[in-house]
Amino acid sequence: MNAVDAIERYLADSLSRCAVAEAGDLPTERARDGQPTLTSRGFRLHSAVNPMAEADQQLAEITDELRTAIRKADGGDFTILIFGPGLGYLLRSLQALLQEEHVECSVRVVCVEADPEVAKKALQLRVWESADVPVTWIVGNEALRSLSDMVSGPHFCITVTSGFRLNKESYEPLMASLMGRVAAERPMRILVPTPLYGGSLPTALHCAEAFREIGHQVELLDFSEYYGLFRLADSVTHDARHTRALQNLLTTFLAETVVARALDWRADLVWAVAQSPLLPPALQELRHEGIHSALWFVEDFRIFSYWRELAPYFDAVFTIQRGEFHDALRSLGVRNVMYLPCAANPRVHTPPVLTEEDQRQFGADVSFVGAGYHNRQSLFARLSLPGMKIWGNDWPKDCAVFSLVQENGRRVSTEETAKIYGASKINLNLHSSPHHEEVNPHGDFVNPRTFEIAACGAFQLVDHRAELGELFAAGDELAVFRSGREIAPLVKHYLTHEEERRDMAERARQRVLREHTYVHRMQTALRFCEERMPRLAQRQRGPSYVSTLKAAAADDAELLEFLSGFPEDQEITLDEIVSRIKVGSGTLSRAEGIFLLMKEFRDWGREKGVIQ
Amino acid sequence: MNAEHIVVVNFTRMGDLVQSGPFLRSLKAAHPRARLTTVVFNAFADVARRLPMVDDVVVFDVDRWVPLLDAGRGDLQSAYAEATDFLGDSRLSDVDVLYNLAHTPQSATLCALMRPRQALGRIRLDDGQMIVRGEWFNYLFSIMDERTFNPFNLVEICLRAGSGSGAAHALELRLSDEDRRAAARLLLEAGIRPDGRYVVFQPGASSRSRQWPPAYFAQLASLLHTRGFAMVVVGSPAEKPLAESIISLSHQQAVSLVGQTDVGTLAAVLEGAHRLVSNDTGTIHLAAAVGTPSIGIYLGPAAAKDTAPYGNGHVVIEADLPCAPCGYRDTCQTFSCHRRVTVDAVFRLCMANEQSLDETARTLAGMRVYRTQVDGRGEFSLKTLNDAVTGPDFALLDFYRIFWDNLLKAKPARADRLNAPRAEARPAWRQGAESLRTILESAERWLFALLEEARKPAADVRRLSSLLQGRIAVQNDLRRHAENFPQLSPVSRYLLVRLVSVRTGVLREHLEDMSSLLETYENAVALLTTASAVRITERREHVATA
Repeated sequence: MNAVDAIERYLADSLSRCAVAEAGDLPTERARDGQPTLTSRGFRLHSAVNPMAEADQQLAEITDELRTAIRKADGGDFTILIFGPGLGYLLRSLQALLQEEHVECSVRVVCVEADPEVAKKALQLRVWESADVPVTWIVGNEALRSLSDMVSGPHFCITVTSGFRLNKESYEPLMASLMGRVAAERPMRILVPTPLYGGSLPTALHCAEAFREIGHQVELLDFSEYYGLFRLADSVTHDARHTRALQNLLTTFLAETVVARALDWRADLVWAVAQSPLLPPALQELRHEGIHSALWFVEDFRIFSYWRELAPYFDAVFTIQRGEFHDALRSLGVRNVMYLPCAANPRVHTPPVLTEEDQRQFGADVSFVGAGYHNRQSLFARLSLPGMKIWGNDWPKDCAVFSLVQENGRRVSTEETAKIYGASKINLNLHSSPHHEEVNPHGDFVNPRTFEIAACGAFQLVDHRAELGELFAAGDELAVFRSGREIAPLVKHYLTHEEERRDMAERARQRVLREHTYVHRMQTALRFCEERMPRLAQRQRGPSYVSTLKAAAADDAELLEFLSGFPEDQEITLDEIVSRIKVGSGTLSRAEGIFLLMKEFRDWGREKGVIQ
Repeated sequence: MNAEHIVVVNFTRMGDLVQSGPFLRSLKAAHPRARLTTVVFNAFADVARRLPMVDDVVVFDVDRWVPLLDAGRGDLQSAYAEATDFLGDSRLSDVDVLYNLAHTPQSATLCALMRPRQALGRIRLDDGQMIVRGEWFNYLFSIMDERTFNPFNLVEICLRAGSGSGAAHALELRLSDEDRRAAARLLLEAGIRPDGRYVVFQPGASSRSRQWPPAYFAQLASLLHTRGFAMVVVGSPAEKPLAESIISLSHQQAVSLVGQTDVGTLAAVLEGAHRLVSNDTGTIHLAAAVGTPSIGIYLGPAAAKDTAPYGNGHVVIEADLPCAPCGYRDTCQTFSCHRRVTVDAVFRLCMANEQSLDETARTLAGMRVYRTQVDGRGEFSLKTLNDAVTGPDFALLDFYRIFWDNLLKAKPARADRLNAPRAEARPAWRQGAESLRTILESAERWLFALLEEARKPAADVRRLSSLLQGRIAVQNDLRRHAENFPQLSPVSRYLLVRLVSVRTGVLREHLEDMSSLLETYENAVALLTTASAVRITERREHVATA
């Protein structure tokens, strides 16, 4: 077999073969131990010291999880996908592992490489062995599109960190699609307690919607209904200590409500966002009961500090800032920390349909939507942009720009916000700061508004943020200013370049749809949770209880009839089954009686402390 | 009714199971050809198999089944399958009469699933409604929380709930030679000769409030030792620390068989003993079943009149305190009742023989000392042996004994003995009886209106359903009555249980049950009113004279 044949036998299809055939050659480098390594687009794909040891270590971290997944395949076909394999060192480690283990499944490995040049080099060098386990490479973005058709049945995804990061945009949608399939097969039960009010309340709602869209079962605890009660504590007393005490009581009550519901519903995961009413004792109880919890802290950690008390009790914490924040979380003992930027919900944040009346009411050359934080008041006062409209609340009546504030600073709905974005030629987006006079030069995270304006297909002029470059292309998808001085010339330019504005806005929208929706974020978060929380990954839901009972009760006509009223594709608890039994109206069937009996003995066992 | 297959669901503990013996025996006597099956939890299967009158014991393995229902680690599918397997047991099919001696909702559901022809006790109807069926079962439920004026021993109530036969049946337990040999071996290994010169201690109890202090048991051991007795401590494995402390405090003058006995060996150890000294536990009923006299120390909420061993010649002691016995839900910081029962008194009662018992007891102060008696008709009573300051109102208890027997017609009426309560209580009594009558009258008016509406060819459904709500008003009136007139509360409580047991699914059944309830209610009011009682007495006298 010549070298070309040897390469071709690994390639999955003709698209992959074409991609490799047309690929250029990358120069090989040597690691300190003499093994080949590779640099692509300036990124080193493997360790410069010992690439094999690096791969062994990475595999060791996920070995347990992989073993469990293989065991669950129960002797059938099993596919292991390696995303961003680079030169394939991890493939070699994996082969060694599979040889050591007595694997009863019929395993095959698929290496998924978006970059044909990297794949070509890997196939030329072949650091892996020719072993019994079949290995296939699927190469190039064209071929990758058919990946999900190639994978059927149980599978396991491994991401090689450096290679994956290099072509993340290609891999993530593929993994999401595979995961969506997993979600449909093994849906999680995710409980989402919302905050009572504030900016993170809609975030919680968007998260819940995204989880549902991915295919999980979601129960929303909408605590916004309790906001009136929360405010009541403000109105009954002028003593701040009393107000605090009353509000703490309500928070404790709501936190316990989360625990009670999570236990009753047998949630797999409680997904909280910043300001969701959860307290350490409730989180400890969840942990004790084997229910995982995760927090998405969608606030500035430098301004709000309550994360210090809460974070250690969550099993995973997701943040919109990293670096210093992650160090602080780790020093508190939080092991599972992940950067998860804000996002948009394309169902809500979508290009608006504008009537003439909307255009008249909301249209402007320059608009701003948001609360009247100090830096905004100060900068906008100095800008003096004619025709600028400011929307939003918390603008003091005596501030210099109050004349620009529309409709007396009333709250604007999400729908109206989309209309404002769509009707404005330029949407100014200045991240809030209580400490600066204008742009916060050290601002890092990107606010939800950035994603929302983009998702609405609107053009925006946004202040520079450290994390912005990784999320959007400055100057190509949105216009960026670093100081107040830069705003006026940029406004002048973009007001006269409508087409440029439109194209940039469209590109930004496409970028959001491709990478920055809540669905993307929740997929990433759940993948991380499953990696770090073995119990979550191993949840044995399989076919639903109702469907297995149906299968097992083929000759029990009465039971079958009773079960026919329940959805087969959803996990359903004993309490849910019993709640459908109507006592006092018609004769109970034997099946109904047995379910009642099971619930009564279950309750009795719980009372005695024998079972959970 | 001539039953061929009777099932008794006995999801109770060891003591209750042993105490159900006379009830089972009376069923057997009333239906000599019937097959008697009892259903028990796995932990008490051995006790049930030793009840000689039982033909079949079906074991419900609750320790295996309940974990299958665990939300996290359970397996509902297997739980369902096992339940169907259990119900498929041929010994539970074709049931003529089923008695549920347990109180729990789950036992009622299980009974319904057996589809008996007739069911008594707490049961679920075909439509799922949970009710209590059977007059004496209603009575049993009415005294669950408040037993002050209950005149019956638990065994008597069960007997009345069953066949109602008036014969005496003792507690029974089957022992084999192997049980006796095993007990002798155990005793010998512990250094005790099985010659009847040993006293058995059962120091554990279901709660601390019922537990005579271990130090007292230890002192008692020392005193008994001086008279040449050996002491054997028995109990469950969890009671080992308790036994160890008694042995240590008594300077090793007692030995422990705690955790080493099964039901058979425990009963055989008791059988060979001089006496059992015990708190209110299952062991005391086991001793009664094997004919060993006991000294029962009834503390906290334990009441001698309710649960003293059913048999002749057992001694039961209560503290002579106005709070004794306390309520089930009362909490106590002082446990004064524990100290009232002195070591010396228990020692002297242990040493007394049948002849000297009454004399010995008469001198004891600070406690109430009773001797148990069962007459030829199976009637249980406590003979008061000393002059206690406090204690049950036996006159009122006597009244109620006759009242219930009359009302629920389990025994031949003995209305000649139905006297009004003590003179000083009469005004309140009369007021309470009048109040009951007023509630009855309004209940009758309500039922009449309901019947009128129901009889109309085109009944107004809305009016009918609003009328049906009237039951709740009666219920509230009776609840208030029970609070306001404690001495008459047994009657209102009983009527309340009957009221919530009225079938609600079908209007005709609802009306039938309500009519029957109001009939009982009328009879109760008639019996309670002093004048009526006198009239009944007079009538009886006339009949007797004639």
